[in-house]
Amino acid sequence: MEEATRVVLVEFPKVFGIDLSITNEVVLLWLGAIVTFLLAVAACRGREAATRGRFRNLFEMLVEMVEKEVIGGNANKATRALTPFLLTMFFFILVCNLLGMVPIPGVFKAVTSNINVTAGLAIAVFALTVVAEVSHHGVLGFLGRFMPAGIPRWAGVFLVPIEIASWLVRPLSLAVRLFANMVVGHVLLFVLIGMAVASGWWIVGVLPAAAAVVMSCFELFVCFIQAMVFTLLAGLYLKEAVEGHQATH
Amino acid sequence: MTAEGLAWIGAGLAIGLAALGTGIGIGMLVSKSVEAAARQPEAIGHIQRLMILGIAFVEALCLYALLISFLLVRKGEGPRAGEGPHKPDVVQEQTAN
Repeated sequence: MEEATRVVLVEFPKVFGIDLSITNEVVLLWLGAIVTFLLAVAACRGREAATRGRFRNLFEMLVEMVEKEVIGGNANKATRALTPFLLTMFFFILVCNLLGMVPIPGVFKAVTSNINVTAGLAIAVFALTVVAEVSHHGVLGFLGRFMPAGIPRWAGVFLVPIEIASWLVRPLSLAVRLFANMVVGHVLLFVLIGMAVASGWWIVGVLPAAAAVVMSCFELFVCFIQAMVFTLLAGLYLKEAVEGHQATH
Repeated sequence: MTAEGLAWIGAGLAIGLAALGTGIGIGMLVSKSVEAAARQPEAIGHIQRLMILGIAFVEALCLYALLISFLLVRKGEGPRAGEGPHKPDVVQEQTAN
């Protein structure tokens, strides 16, 4: 479990303490971005075609699902302007998760099982919520979200630190949720396949192998659900930042 | 009762207790949402959305405990080859002045 399949391709010296060498995870991030871009381009080609292919239908189903669940029906214009960001993030996370299910050991790895990648995505969402909230409500409105209306002043002394802490833990929970789900899924598969291999020629080795097949199917489902949940929560936080605290309650 | 042994016990306890709470929480969540969907089948879309959102929050708590369990397993496996045991920080003795 501790073996890090981290293959360094091009070694760079440390720049200000940050290691910029190109590893297989960096190349997989680029691959994820390129595949997402090609996916979107391929799905939008031939916009006026009367008959759409299966891939186009599948892509549109996913886009509709993200739009319906994340944006919701009663969103104002500013929230709708965030749709491209959320769609891009959904497809990027989905593609990165699914690339981790390709079974070539040294080459393919789920980059979202690296906490740095998920933390980067969560920081992007967090920065966008702060920018969106400040640009829509001003700095005073942004500070006013920690002190909900209708609370007596003396209770605010206890409430404001709790609100600040729960606001700061949101990007942390986004990052950790995606990271832990991906890591756990792959660790479980490693353990099961290790058990199947260690049984040797005994017939009982069929059981962990069958369990590994079932867990692989479940892992594909988890890839999809975790991309969905990340986008759903990011959309919820952005909607709350843009429309005010009472919009989500 | 070495530190590594206790770390293994801690790792098991962490994820075990966390899974207990998460199982109860998600079970209650799903049962209530299935009940609500059975009462009003035309709202199944809304209910499903809310249920997935709720499950994500509850499951994240279990995953925090799983991370702690991973850290404890790392401690439980002991020092790697080439590393010595963890040395306590050297505190400079203050001469009395």
